[in-house]
Amino acid sequence: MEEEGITGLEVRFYQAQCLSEENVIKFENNGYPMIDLILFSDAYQIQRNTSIPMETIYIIQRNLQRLFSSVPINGYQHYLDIKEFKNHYSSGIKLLDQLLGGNGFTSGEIYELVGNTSCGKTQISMCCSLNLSQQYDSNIIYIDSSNSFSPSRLTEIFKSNYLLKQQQKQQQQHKQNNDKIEIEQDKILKILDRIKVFNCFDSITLLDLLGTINNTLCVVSDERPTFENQFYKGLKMVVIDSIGTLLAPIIGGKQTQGHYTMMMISRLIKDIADTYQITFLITNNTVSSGSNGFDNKAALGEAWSMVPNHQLMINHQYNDDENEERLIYIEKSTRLPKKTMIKSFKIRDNGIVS
Amino acid sequence: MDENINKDNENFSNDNNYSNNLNEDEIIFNNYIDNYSNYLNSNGISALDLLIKDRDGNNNIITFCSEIDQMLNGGIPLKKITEISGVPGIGKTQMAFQLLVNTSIPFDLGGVQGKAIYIDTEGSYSCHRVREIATHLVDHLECVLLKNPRIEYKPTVETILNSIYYYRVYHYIEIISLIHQLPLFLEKNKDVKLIVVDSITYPFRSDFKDMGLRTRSLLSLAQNLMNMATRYNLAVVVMNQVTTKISPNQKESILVPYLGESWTHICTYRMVLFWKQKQRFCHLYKSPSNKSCFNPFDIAEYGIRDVGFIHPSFLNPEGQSQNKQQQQKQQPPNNNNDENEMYIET
Repeated sequence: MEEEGITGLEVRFYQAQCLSEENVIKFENNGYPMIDLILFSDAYQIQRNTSIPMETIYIIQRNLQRLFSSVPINGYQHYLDIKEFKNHYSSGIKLLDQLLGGNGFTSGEIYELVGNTSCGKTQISMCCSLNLSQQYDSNIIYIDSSNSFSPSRLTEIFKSNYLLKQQQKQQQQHKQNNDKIEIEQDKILKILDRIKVFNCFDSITLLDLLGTINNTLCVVSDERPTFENQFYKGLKMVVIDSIGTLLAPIIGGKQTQGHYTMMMISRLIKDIADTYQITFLITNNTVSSGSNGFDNKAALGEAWSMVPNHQLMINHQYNDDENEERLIYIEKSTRLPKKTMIKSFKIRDNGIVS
Repeated sequence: MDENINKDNENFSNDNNYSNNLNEDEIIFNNYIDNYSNYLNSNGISALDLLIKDRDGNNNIITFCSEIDQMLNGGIPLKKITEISGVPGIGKTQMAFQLLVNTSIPFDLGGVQGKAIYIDTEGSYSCHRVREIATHLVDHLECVLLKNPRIEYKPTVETILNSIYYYRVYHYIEIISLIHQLPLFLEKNKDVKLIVVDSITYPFRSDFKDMGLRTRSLLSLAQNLMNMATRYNLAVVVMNQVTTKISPNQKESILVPYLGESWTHICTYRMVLFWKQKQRFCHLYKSPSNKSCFNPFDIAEYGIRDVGFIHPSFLNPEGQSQNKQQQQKQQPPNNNNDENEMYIET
């Protein structure tokens, strides 16, 4: 993949910063076309190959190191920065907000929803994207791997929520405003317009897609957005539903290639989340663990479990139609207390309620 | 040079037709690949456009059991994978036959008017049964068409059977390669609206030393199916068997669909058929847009129907096709029939 494209690590890009023109030519002609080769090779080796004086090589290496190393940030300053720049987005589901520390999602963090089939993962992620679009006028990318995104369900949630509010208002005021209902119902069209759905059925497509998102965000943050990529200006959340189905066929066994793809994807996700302060909501499925096969754990193994900042586990017990139980709790988190709060929830017409 | 090559090709193709076919296939395949890359570069669809797309056109294949159809918002949805599982003899294959036949209901009557592919792994396909169901469908449609004489397209038993493509598959390698080859076929026949795999379980039931390999090959198979479903706007119905799962603590066993945890996430819709009080029930277990619930259904000579449904031809032994004009003057024979007609039109 890297063979054709420009990686940004070619020696000639660093001519202005640390290298003189003749050195660049010397490096390129003697087998050092990439900057990382210069950084990690032995100085004597370089001198023997390129006949550049030792001192210059030392200076170049030091300059390059300085260029690439990150800058230390004062802890207090960092705290202030985060307080100022981190945004909180309410998920629209009270119990989920409470679980996540009262404020809902934090920008730039990666959330993972884990649960077995039909436990409500897709419902929660649809509710969240609806609310983010409704409350904050933000744009959302929804990457759908099992074709389960349902706009009619979103309209249903919106309508029944709206009717509930209307009823409460009517009880208070005893008035009927029929004109207002129509205006509000137009709103749903705008809300839906802010959610963009991508269908994605294999891991390579996902990698491609994340790459495109990353590049477009890069362009948008530098220049004035054009009509096509205007959407990315207000992008606040990316939902991936579900990562398990996408990655499961390529990992496991002795497939190192699949593992490599997974790590590429995870690095891209982390990069996008941190650089552009975008919240990721990722759903993952479960695999049975233990001898009896009745305990569940998140799919994709140890390597993937390092990626999300917060992992939310959903437990679904199905006995009868009346006797259904769904529990949600925090399984893993860098910030929030673990398993102290276990909330039960139900899926109704108007979304998710406790 | 080009001329020479062309001549060579001609000679070659005269020698055997097979290579000619291969070339044709290659062209189609290249088209497919080109289209695929275009399709990947698309900018995504906004949810609003999706909603509008969903609203127009007939996007469901009805099952003829009104309660199941209501449960699914009008029938088996296009562009999605639906899994139907249940114990042997519950009617999975019957459901498949009914869907195969119902695929050719004309647009004007709320159908999708397309062709169907049946991939048979168990050898349970029965031509006679499909023909029987098709005959009853034709009778029924004629009955409906009497009310709407403007509709010109009238399916016959022959056209219905003509629009069903049957594949027999024995080994899991065969089904995997078949699924890989299907896009070629679909590229040629774009009016295919349904793919039924009956059942997905059987080829994967044994023969696997490495269970991880089984899961991976199954998942990639499902991804391919899903891909076809969205690209060609067709419904995929997958039949699954059930297996017992024994919990050590509670000392009881439950019936669960086969193929394990990771398979369950692939399907968009999931239905479980089961017996309860000597009655067949259909339980919608997983759905992104509908509530989970269960409803009774029945299997009769004429296919899948509501419980308590009485076919008009049983009340009118004369048959509709013989005395059409008489029928037109008469009122519909009973209320049940009337309801069913209404239900097809909507």
